[in-house]
Amino acid sequence: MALLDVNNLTVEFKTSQGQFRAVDSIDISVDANDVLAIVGESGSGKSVSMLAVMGLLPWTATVTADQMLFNGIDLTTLTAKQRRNIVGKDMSMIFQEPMSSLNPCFTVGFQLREALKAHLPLSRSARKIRAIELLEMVGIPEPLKRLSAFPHQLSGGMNQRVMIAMAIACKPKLLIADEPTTALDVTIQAQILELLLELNQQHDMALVLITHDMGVVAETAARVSVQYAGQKVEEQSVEDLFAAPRHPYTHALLAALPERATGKLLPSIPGVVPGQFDRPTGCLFSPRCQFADARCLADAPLASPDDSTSVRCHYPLSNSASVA
Amino acid sequence: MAIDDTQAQSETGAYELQRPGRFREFWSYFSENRGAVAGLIVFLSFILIAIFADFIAPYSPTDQFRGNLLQPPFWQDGGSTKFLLGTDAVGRDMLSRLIHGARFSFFIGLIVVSLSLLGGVTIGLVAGFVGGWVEVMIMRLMDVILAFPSLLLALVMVAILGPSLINAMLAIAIVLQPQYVRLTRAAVLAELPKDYVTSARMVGSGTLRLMFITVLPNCLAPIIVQAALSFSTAILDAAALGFLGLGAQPPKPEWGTMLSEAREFILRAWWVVTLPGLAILITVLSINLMGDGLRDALDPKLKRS
Amino acid sequence: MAETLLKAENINRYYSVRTGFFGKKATVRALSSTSFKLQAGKTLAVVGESGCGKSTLARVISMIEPPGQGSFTLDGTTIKADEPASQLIRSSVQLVFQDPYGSLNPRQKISQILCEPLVINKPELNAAQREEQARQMLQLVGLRAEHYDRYPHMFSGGQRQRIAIARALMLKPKLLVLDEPVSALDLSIQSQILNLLVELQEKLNLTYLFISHDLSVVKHMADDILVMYLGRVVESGGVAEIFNDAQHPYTQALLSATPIADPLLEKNRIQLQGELPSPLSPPSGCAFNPRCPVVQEKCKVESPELRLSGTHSVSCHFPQGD
Repeated sequence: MALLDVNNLTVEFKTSQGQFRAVDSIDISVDANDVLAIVGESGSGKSVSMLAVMGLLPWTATVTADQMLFNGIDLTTLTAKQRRNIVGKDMSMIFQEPMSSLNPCFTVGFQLREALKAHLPLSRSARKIRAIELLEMVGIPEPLKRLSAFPHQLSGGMNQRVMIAMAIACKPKLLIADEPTTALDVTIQAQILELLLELNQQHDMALVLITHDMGVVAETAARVSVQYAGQKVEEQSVEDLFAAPRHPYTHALLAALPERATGKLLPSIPGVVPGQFDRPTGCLFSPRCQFADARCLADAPLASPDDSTSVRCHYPLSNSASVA
Repeated sequence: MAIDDTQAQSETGAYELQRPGRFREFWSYFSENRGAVAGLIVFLSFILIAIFADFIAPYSPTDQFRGNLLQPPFWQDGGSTKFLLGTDAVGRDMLSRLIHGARFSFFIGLIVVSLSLLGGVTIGLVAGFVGGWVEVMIMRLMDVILAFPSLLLALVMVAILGPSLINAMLAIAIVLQPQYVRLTRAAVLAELPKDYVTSARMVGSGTLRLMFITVLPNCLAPIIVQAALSFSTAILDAAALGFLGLGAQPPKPEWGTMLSEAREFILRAWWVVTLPGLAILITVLSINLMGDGLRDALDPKLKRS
Repeated sequence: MAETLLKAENINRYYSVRTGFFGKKATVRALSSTSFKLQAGKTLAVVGESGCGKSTLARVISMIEPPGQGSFTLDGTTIKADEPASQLIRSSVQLVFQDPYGSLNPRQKISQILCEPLVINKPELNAAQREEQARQMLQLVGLRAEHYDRYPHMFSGGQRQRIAIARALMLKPKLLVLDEPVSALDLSIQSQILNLLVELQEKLNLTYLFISHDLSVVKHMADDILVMYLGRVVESGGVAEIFNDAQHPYTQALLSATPIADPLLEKNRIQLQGELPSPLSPPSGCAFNPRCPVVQEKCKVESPELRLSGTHSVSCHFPQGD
């Protein structure tokens, strides 16, 4: 059984101009020890869907799902208190901006011990030992000294390590990393990704990586789910996705990568992601799709699982189609 | 044309339809705050009354009806519908005086806010742009003004200049000025490092152009809010000065002056004291409510705080 | 041989900062003795991580800040530390910013944004002429005529960046400094803007100084590359030489750390230890020595000069040829 099993997740936000559907019937399934990457541009609902699973959305959001199971527990029926027992313990999350994710008023050590205190029955001294152990685990030199440092005294990469230490403090079964390296430099990014994969392998922790960077996906993930305008358009294993994308959006996105360019001009996707007021009636990608026809403009395709992959498209590209 | 025009077209699509105009966005935030809308309605009627006072008021504010001294409002025994809100000690119609008083208060608010706004914003812009010792001097001077209790400072100034409505307004404008200076300077300092200012420098904008055309329009939101709120402060301070006999002089129907004239009748004729006070209260309250709504709508940083 | 449009010689830019309220004054060496040449019609990319001085370089070259020491020659005119450049020279370099949300004045219409450079620099033009030029430019960057009277908040990030580019081109500059022009944009929009830049360069014979941290974008756009670390150039050369034959250990680490969108590619990743040292107290000797995987005694003492090694210039005592 999958560790996290979400079926038909929909998130709507109440705005002054009516309901806005940020996430549209998405299925997510993460096995224990899995590394799933969720890829999409801004506005694709990739962060919102995971925040919904964590129960961290503001009150303006309406979350509906046919099923939302984590480790056999139904997340939809939990009370706030029961949810708090799971979130931060068995399931935790790190965010893009390490500088603003930590409270600038308290030392790193205080915040780390706080995270331990909330979920584990440890004594004061045991908490301190565990905190040092955690900082060591995430590769922070001189952990004892760093405990009394404030977040502004550490660099972005160090703060992200502290965030990871806090997230893994209670040995979670699932870690959701929301653009964990976007704010960091490439050499630091490489260190952090390495650390996350190491934790994934050594501590039996499933990893959900939310990102927009195809390079990061290719180097870390095992499976990839591509989201577009709140919908999941494609899910495949990472090798297959990069070798033979089935959805025209994925295909176009990969072709637009500068490193895959053959000429001086990149093949680009015309237009922008649809917003709240210009959602097309048929397939959401149809206005920008080079293969779209009358059927795509009229009917919305359903997610069709076909053997190992699932594609939300009327005319999925065949497996043999290669990326131009 | 190599650059794909159709691409740019579909890129826009219905994009601008979905973004409501500036005013509609402003109104949607503003109207969320019911107190603000109520305040706006009261304030608008206050302005209308002030403008059309000559037509609305049943009598002249200085006409004395010697046969009807201290007549109570019409719903009390002894009152008549001839004088809806009664008369004062020399037989002037209260309603007419209050209506004309609105004109004074509006006039005071307008002049004081314009004076302090113009001076304060200019000084604030200079402080923010020039920096260095000029900025230090300006800001310390403003701190000194702020260190005095504002009414006391205004009192001193009026005492020096001589009691009259114009001098009272001048004094209040000077007392209110530092708030604008500080606000403008803070807004300027927040805007200066932004890329569009650098961009304006790149194309060679001079300092004056940067100050008034590039930066100032982007600092207006908090200044407008402050202007609305200090409108009420001005009315209140002018009333206080009038009450102390240092503002508008009798027989001008200024609300504060009316209050002070009526002091001795406080036990015998409640309406001569209560009604001007009520007028001040309602006006100031409505402006403050409206100012809060403005703040919600214009200043996203202060929203819900 | 194309003519040299820009030649920088030993540009320095130091900032003095005070550490704490009573702290001593300290010097941040944002840019130290940087020299390079830029051929007309070519693209020189400056790469490096945050704090490497690439944004300072952009500000010095676009004459927002004067060089602390040294000078650069632009199209035959020399700009020195203590001589303010004339507005004519200034207008021949324009800057495109990273964040298209901050670089357009939110209170100005597109028409004002585009016409402002002309109002200031070309007072001989009347309003109709200005409008004509602005509308032409709007079309050139792929926007429609009806966008002319709108405010920036009505546009998406990609469109705003088009507007920012249009504004920068209004004065017909020779050199366009692009400070991370696509890193705030989504992938599908990024390729649109990169294509626009390529087309504009061909059409208007523009020269680009392209600042970026994204090596895959740089590889696509650049003719020559300047790799910077802690305010210094560590390696410079043609794009093929840098990508195929990097000799500085930092460049090699940077290349190996850049994720490539190919899951089948086996990579031999060079993991750098530690982080960027504080620019307030740079290490003695070679600035890279505390993180360098092949550091030797000499590196800790002596600062290497940029010199020719094989096909291009490297600033390392022990260049790592293949």
